[in-house]
Amino acid sequence: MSTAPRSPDEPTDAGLIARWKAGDERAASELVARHAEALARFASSLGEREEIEELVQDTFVRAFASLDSFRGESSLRTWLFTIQRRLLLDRRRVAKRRRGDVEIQEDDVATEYTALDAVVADETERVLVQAMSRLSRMQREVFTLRVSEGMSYRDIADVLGSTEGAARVHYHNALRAVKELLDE
Amino acid sequence: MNDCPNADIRDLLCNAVHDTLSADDRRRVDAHVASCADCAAELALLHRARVILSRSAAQVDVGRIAAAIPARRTRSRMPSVATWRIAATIAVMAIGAASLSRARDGNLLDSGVISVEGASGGPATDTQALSFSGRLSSLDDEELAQLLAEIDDFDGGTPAEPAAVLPVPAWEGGTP
Repeated sequence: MSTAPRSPDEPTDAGLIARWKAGDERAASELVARHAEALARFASSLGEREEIEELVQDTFVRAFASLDSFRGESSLRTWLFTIQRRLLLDRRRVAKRRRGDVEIQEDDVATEYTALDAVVADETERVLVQAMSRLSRMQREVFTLRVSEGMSYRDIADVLGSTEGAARVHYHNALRAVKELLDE
Repeated sequence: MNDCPNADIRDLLCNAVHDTLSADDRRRVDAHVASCADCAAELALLHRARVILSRSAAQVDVGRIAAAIPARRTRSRMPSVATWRIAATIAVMAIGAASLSRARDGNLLDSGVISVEGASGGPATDTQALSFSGRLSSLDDEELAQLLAEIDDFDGGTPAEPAAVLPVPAWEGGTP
């Protein structure tokens, strides 16, 4: 995981959760500060451009409402990613139904991945962004979680509701696709 | 850009980017990358992709998000009325079930002790007793017949006639 190494004095996520359950609201603020940026980054990788803050906020509200069910089998961040992803997919399904479109598929080719356009520094980066934008939704999610967040295949599988082996395959397929597009 | 056939090392490249390798793995990866152009190129690609993805994160207002989280409701240590009602219901049901079970087992009807005192009309001190200790169900036919015979012979009347309290006046002048 890409979270910066914490000092021994810094409380763990589990410690902050315990404090919040005991009534310390500042613990919630610390948890939000610790994970909000990664959630926003993941939302961007999922193709969200607008309402990212609202999505992140809804993710936290839902997570804190069901913190009693969090058993700590995965990291808190992995659990938050899982909640955010489900929220986003639900929203998209509802939006598509409203428009009368077919339900979205996990392997839909990305068409909304333009969030990175604004952060390109040079031609090489522009090509790399373009390559990543052509990944399938699943490949892009796995690639982002692995490359940007440094998550293990097991944690990625938890987020995606998949298997560790499938996460590994998606990652290497994504990497191969990016390389091929860079070579064109 | 080709894929290196060493899958183990390639799986560690992301960890190298995030600096989460153990010391041993770090040495292995460094030694391999130093002599593998494909892995060196892949490592550079991953570094660059990570930077781009990090830059793409939208700015979010942490304070606003934290403020939207509802405060934790701490549970009262005092049991609620509903809790007491449930506890009382369970207690009543348990007592009822135990009583029913005892009755079904015959423990109330066959408690094992029969003790009756009786009198045959003699003086108050002259009492006759019938007693039995044990379980009726443990008696065989002969013993039961004997017990019934003893019950038949038993005089269960009042032990003695009460003594007269008021003086009985004597009739004068013959019978009334």
